[in-house]
Amino acid sequence: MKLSKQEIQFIDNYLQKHDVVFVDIRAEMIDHIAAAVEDKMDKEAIDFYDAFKSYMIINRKDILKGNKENWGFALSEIKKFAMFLVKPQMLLLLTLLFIVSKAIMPNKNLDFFIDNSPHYFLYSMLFISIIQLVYFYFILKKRFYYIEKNGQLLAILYWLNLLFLQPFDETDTTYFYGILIFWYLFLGYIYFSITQIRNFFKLKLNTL
Amino acid sequence: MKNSQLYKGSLNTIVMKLLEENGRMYGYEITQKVKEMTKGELKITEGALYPALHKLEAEGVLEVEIENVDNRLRKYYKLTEKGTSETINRLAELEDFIRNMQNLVQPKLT
Repeated sequence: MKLSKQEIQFIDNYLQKHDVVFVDIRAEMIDHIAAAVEDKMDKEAIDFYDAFKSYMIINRKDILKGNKENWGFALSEIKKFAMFLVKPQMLLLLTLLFIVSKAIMPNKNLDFFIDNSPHYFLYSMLFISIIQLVYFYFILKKRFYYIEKNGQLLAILYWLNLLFLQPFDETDTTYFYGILIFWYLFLGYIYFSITQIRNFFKLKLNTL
Repeated sequence: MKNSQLYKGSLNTIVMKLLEENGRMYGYEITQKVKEMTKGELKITEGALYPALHKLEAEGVLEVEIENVDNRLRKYYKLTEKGTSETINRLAELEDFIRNMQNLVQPKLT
């Protein structure tokens, strides 16, 4: 016995009413509940509503518990980004950034660019955030767990920039390494986001 | 489920072993397979399974495929290359654990 589109929509509405706002998380919950309800309907010869009610009475708390864990900072996403940063191609990028920076640093004409790097980071991050906000909130009008957790990485980089990238003496090597590391993190974030978004469209998550 | 604390640390290994044997599976299928193999002794709850699956996915151990099935979208999980080699390591660790526990709780009779 397979559930109809209306019955699937019923489950979707139920989860939305119980604050399961992320479309990708909700889609997985819908499939799980639907499969369990179909099983119940087959084994116990009951209709959809009775099967759904009896299943949710026992399992509701456990199913919705997963949603509560999705609201905070996702350490797993931060760890995923950290693992991405130590991939061979990323370490090669870091090496190249170091070599290029060391080569161009004595050039006084680039002082303006280097001193204003923190501002460029801030403006770029704000721009990326606005693009994401417009696309997901106003065009797709859907919230996706993995996209929002990716956005939290941007928020972390933003605060790191504000707290740690204060220009001191332009000859200060600490400032040089700070800028270098931040360029590395920022470019890493751009590359990481591109792979995440490519995966997002490859899996057709925008059609959920 | 009896003594869930004893199984808690083994959930990832159980999932990885099942995926190694069955190719790709979806969440509900995993819970039913475990229930069937243990004759109902072990029931993996949704609240335990999905965070574990998402964590393994974030670690690069699992990858996902999404398909339209029976009027909804279904997320299948399968092992990556990294996951396949990691499964072998974890199973070896689990075997050592079982052997050590057997030695501890079932001393050989002389």
